[in-house]
Amino acid sequence: MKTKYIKQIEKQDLLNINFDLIISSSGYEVRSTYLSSLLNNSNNNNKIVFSFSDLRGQNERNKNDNIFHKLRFNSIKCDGNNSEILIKNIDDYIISSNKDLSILIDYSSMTRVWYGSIINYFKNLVIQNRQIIIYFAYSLAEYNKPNLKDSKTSHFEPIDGFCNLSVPSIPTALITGLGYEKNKAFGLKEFFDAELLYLFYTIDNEFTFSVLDKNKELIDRTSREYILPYNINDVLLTKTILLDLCSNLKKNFRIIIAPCGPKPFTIISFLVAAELGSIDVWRISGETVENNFKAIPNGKIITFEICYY
Amino acid sequence: MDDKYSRAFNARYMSFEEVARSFIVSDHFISIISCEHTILTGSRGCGKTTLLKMLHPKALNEWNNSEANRTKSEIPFIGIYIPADRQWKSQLDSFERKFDKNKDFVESIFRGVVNSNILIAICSTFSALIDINNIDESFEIDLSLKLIENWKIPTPIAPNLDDITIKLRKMVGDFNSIFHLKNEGQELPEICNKDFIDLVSLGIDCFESLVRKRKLVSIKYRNKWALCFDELEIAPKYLQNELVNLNLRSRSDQRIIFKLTSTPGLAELSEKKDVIRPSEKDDFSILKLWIYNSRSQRQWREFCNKYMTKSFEKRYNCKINLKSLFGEHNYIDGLKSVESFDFSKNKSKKQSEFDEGGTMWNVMYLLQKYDDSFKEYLIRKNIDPDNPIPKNSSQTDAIHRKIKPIVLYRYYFTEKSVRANKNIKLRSRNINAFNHGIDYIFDIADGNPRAFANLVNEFIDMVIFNSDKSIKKIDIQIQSRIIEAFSINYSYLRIRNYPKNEIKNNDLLLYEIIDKIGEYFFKRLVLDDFNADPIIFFYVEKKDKNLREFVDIALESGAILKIEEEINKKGVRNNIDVYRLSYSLYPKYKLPKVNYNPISLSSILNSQKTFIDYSQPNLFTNILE
Repeated sequence: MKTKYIKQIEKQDLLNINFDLIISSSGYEVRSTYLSSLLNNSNNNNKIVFSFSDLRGQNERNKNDNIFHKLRFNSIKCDGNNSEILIKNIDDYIISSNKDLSILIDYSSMTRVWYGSIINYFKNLVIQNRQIIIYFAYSLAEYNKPNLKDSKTSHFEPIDGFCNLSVPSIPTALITGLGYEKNKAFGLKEFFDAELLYLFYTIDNEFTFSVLDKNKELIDRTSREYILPYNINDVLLTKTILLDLCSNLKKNFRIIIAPCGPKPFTIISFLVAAELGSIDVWRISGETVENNFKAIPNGKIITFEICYY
Repeated sequence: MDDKYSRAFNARYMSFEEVARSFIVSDHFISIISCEHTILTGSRGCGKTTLLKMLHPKALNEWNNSEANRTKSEIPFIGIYIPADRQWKSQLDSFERKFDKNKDFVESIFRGVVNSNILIAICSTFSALIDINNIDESFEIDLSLKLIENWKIPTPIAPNLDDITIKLRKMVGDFNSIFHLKNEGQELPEICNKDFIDLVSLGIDCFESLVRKRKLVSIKYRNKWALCFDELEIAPKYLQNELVNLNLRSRSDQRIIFKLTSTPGLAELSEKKDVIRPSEKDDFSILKLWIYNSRSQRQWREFCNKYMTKSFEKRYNCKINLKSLFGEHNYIDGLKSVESFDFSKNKSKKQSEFDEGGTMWNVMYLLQKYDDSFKEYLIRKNIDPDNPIPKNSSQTDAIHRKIKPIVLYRYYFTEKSVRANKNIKLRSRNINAFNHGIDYIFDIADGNPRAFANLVNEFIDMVIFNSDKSIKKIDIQIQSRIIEAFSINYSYLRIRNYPKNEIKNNDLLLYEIIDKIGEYFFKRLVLDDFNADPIIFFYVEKKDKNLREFVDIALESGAILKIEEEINKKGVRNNIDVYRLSYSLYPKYKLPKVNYNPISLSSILNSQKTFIDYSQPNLFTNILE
């Protein structure tokens, strides 16, 4: 399907929409249930919660499962590293409901593999004369101190659907969203022998100081023109900046986007890669950070509305 | 990107011309231009890509001085540089995972991608030859028409080499629709079914036949072509197998020779169980681009000397005497630079440093006063602790000279402990003044031109001229600080942030194991009971299969190096490889650059429960007290 428009909508507007399908996820993060709990539960909509087959953070997970059960979500167990079941369920629903649709996807607690595959699915979906509006919603979490210990890199690979065959005769440009993990981006540049490295980091929240602190050595060594601050609350502008950058770089570089930072930057990366093609998006995640991050919602919700036709 | 530590001297970023402009000829280059198959092995940054890129006609054309002209005339082939990188490998790996049940299909796609990469490289070499020799445009048109026909490049296409390159890239891009839609049934282009060697031969035939037809005598043409495959270890397995096991052994086209680069751990080279495998010397030669014995150390120092001399000459428009600028490495000079105590009270100039009143005599005397284990060692050796002079010259060599670095390190880094059960504790030192001198600076870059170039950049603005135009020696403490900063901020930072940090079946990350090794060596040298044969190397026993992965990743990252002949391998079976930490990490772990004994890695890992946090030197004294 093609993208008709993308816009950002406010929390109140989101809560007033009647969705045909609501998709969420249940894991160990407290924010898993936040948005679903706010929605009008009297609607006759379809609700699916994809629950991680991995039972990390058992107590919080049980609480989340119970809340989703009360909210009448249909629970389906899924491997966080595999999106096949998730995509099959979405595909079954889309094919069986022969009409225009509005679908809410709360990706707050989803893995990159899951929401990346959803964007990839809609990009490759071929259906005629229908319009599907997807609302990608993300609950921001309260500030959490970063871990002191470095984490094992449990996943270090391109994400399925965002990896492209190419020939290595042109150099690599690496774009990374800075995150909590100390100098992870520095290691990536070295690993890929990237000729160019662009750093994106959020400037408008309490995480900023920690992110800058964790990446200080790299930031100090990088020229200003390669450091791009962004406002996490203005995802549309951030997407435009990333899209422009990638469009320019694509002529002379093979692009890797390695979003180490917050999930809205990751979803922007997926959207830009899907739009331009031939851009690899990587998953670099560390076990310790994910395990210990309880992600208590702070009440803010950032939502992309994407209309496919 | 203005990264002072990573931007400099990465040949991957540089054009062929840029590589040539900063190129310093080395013995390795002289070896690689021989008319035989060559495999260059070494870890990241050791200069493999530079050497291969220098074989491209564009690089050779840009390289102009008397030495260059002489060397160029001896090169018996034309180089075709075929790049590879990790982004490429990850793409191929992802593809393989996605189609893991259809191996034939995967290999066909890989052939298409690999062949396209090789043909693009040939186009680059052809294009350079045409430009350099000022051959008229019609030659390129005729050549392109032949290539399009013989390589079966889909038409329509304009007959020029750039358009062929673009078409090949697009063909690879088109494979992505198969990739994303998982469409295994789609018909693949012919390039996916061809052996690369046949395509290369066809390309060379096209070029040579046109040269002959047009009688282009001016062309600097040789009848051999070198396919220069960079980073063999990340090429698809089928290609590694074909290159190493088929092409190195028997050449189907006698015009083609291979120049391959690889990290030291490539399985295709090391697992020589199969009798039909090619053998070193008979079928190919291996060029080791790291420091593994005293000869390679000497060659490395010669390279560094040339590089540094050229860099300083360019900066100051005059020759700078490096020995005058840095001095030579000398433990005693280092010690004297930080301690006001007058060590040298020799009665006459004829006396040695070990004679009564000499510097080492003083250090040994002072150390044995609080280091009981050293005192016991001296007594065991029939040396009077209160007057530790050698009894004769053979004792000077066998004992005093041998233990000199150990004594100095123990004296420098320890002091008397106040605890009843301990006699020594770590002493807080702001710098390690033993890290200085031009030879030491050469050595800690450890065969890594990229690291050395960064180190040179740190020193290049530090020349101060005296009024008589002589140069002022850079203070030992300043040298030590720069060297330590390089070790921590350049070398260690790269290991610490190496993305492939997970070692299977091991709770420790790559850098944590490296930390354990470095800390263990330091502890054995300085804090444990005095031993004239401390530990500085390690090996992995056959039974410790789970540590093999650590060795592979550590070699790849450049954190460790394999050592070979001339090194004391006491207690280690002949077929077991022995490794050391990269010298570039020695300043971080405060280790002397001396060859001592090896120990098994599992012993190191089992021996330590706590870490010394070297990033916080102030903790030193608190850890052991």
